[in-house]
Amino acid sequence: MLDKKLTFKTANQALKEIIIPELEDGVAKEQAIALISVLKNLDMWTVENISPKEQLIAKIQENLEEQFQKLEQDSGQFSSLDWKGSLEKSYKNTEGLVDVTEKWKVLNDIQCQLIQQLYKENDRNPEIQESYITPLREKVREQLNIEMSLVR
Amino acid sequence: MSETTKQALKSYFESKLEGAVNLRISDFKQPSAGWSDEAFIFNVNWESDGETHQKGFAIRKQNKGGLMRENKNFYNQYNFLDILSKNCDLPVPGVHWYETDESILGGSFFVMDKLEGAAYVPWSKEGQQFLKQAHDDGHIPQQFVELLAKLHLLDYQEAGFTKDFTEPVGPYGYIDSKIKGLEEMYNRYLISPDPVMVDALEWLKANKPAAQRYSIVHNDYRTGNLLYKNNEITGILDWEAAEIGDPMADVAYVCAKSNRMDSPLLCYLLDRDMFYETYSKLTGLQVDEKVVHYYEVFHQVRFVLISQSAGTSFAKGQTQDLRMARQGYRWPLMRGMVAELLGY
Repeated sequence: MLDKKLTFKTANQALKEIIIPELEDGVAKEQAIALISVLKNLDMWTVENISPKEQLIAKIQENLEEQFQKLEQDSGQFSSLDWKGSLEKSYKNTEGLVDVTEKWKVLNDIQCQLIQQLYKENDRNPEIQESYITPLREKVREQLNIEMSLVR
Repeated sequence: MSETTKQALKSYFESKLEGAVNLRISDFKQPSAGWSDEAFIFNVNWESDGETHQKGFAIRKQNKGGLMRENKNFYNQYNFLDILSKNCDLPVPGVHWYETDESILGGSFFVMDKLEGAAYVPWSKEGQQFLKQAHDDGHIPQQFVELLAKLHLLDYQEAGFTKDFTEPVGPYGYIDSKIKGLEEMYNRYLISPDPVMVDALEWLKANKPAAQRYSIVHNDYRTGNLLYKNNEITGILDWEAAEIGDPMADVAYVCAKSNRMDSPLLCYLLDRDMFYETYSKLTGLQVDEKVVHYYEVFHQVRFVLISQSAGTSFAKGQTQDLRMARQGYRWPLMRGMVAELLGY
């Protein structure tokens, strides 16, 4: 989730300014200096991995489309569904977004707004928890699992 | 680095200890470069009136690039410890001087007593061994609960805390202000809109428990923040998040999964039943599992936001500290723990 270029650059700065000046062993110092060069080259020879975000985008799109359809079918359960129209419009607008990170963020924002609306409805109708919030969590869990699989 | 600091401390104590001659700093240790503040522990040795003296001190120094610096009032830490140490017999350090002159150590700092005893990292092999042995022996677990109960029973109004620290109003006053704070943090350190955190924040608003009463809460009371010597707890440290609040926040913190991970023992030390029973008996407060679960979610949300603030600080180029980058990468794991607590 951190920008690759910035992370490599800052790691190198930390090596140069914090770690190397404290190293007293000559061999360790040589290795650390070489590591700076290795990291710079590694940065230039690799590209940002955007495939997890593409997977996430597909999952979020699938989830939102399912939710919008379900809301349409259950409209009687809700005090008002004005907010659904607004969310659908925002969703439609994401079609034109090319930048993967930007698209992922906007789609996430729509999911967040959906959750907030469901909690508002749940104050009035506690069945929303079971029929909407719990199933929605399963979908968000799938997204989270993709993110978690990339952390060491 | 430490030589420069030692020299600065020598000059500082020469100016503070009237009539001191042949002053020297010994046993200097910097436990770690803290996430929020830095700490130094050392002895000061000096002569005066023909006698030799030695006293242990500790210094907490503000780290300007530390985590969530904008949410913290450094003077409050000093003031809180000052009031607390003068009004209770808990093993907390007394404080001596608060300094804002940054030319001395490169940031504001305060000087306090060094407490005797050793600290353990609870999830280290050594820490787990020590705590397991302490659990089997039984004295330290009992004392752990007694000290927490004593803190929660302290008459904070009588002690004078309400002059400088906010006392929540009404049974929901504390939790309402904490949720507001979490929402502000969520928005300030936003990496990407996050459905897990939005769900958790809405859940916290929808399920607020009423406080049975208010007390001083430590907000970081765990085995890793205590000192131990001769089978006794000899110090309670890290008061930077302490405030007047719902004591159940501390009870839940002791129970939090992040403080025990896969251990069946709370904080690697306590049996849950023993903790609940002893604490209730000593404080007269009821420990309700639902409230404990509520505050466990609350704490985990707080941890995510701390992790988020670290990642944001690195991503914006505000720090070179690689631990912040590591926290940023760990963000999904922390959110995973929130999801687990909410039953995802």
